[in-house]
Amino acid sequence: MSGFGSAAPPTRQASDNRRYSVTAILLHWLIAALILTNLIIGWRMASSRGLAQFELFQLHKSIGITVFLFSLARLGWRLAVPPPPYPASLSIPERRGATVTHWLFYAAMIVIPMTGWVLVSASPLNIPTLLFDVVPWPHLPFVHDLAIPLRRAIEAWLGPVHVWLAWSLAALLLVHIAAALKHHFYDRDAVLSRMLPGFKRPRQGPEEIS
Amino acid sequence: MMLRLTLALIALLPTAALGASAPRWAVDKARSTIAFSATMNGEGFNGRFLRWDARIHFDPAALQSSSVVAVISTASVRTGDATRDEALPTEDWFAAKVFPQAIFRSNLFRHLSGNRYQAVGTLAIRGRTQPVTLAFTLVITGKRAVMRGHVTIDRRNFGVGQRHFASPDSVAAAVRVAITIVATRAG
Repeated sequence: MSGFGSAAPPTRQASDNRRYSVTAILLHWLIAALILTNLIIGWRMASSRGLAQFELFQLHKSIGITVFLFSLARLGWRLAVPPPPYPASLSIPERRGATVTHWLFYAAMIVIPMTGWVLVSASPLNIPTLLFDVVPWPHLPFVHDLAIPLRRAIEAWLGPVHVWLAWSLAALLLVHIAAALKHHFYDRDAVLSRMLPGFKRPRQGPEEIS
Repeated sequence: MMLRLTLALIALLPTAALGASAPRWAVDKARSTIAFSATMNGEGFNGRFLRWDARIHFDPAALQSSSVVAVISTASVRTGDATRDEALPTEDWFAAKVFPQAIFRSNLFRHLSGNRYQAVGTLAIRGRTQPVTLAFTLVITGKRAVMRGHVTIDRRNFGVGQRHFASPDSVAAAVRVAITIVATRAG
């Protein structure tokens, strides 16, 4: 009989069939696409020059704030609507790893854009933020109103932090993708498919007989 | 480009020719400049226009028959910074592809005192025309004239600086134009 206790062989349970909500799935993939795009733009920005660099910067800012807003919404949704429980086949270390990864993501998706927002507000260049060249986005007053030398110092210190955090996010992304693929193709469980749009049923894993 | 400027000047000749009994002056381009100073993020920078031309009819004793038309190639702006010079001719700033020339036309001249004068006229940049008054000093020695003038304009009145630069937060609105003309009387 299946039950609790780590000695029990894994069996498929009703909870294996539970999926993420449509909202969670939508936000997940939307944010994923935006983050991936912005990581690439951020990387390309460093080597571009002149007007082309300026345009990339403005696009990077626009996408960054969009990720920030969508991530706040995602977090709000996550707190309001619990995700499906982990499939029973997941070991304790795996569950812990997943939980840590996911919360690190929430932190990164909110903190990284915030560091960007502080950077832009501090920058003596004083260029207003216009999301996608249309929607004005204010500078942070408590940063923007500081004296110029202090703003320069903030910019000089926080800039590398923003970049370092972005690289960390990229590494986290690789771990996340690798884990999802491992679950899907190796463990053959529902972990990935329950976040994929349109899948009604997880792939059937081998049944273990106790 | 020079051909275009010359053609523009010729086209504007009828305006300049009204009451042009005042002698014509030939501009010494090498010694003359049309320059400006502006401020970005509290730091000043200077710029000038490499290509321009001016048709000057001037007689200090006959100001009412004097006239000046200047045609400036907006794409020829240089400010000593590669990114700025790349940006200035674009749509957000001079939009040089659509408005390749800025044009100043005088309407009347005033003599203030000594060698101080005013040229009252219009300035057209980026498709917008605004009244301007250029204060200048003029020293004529024989057939040679040295004119130094300046006027401070608000770039926003001409729509120069759009979107991110529409507000004066990063680039100040006031731009001080400084003109030096060395010319020889031709007529």
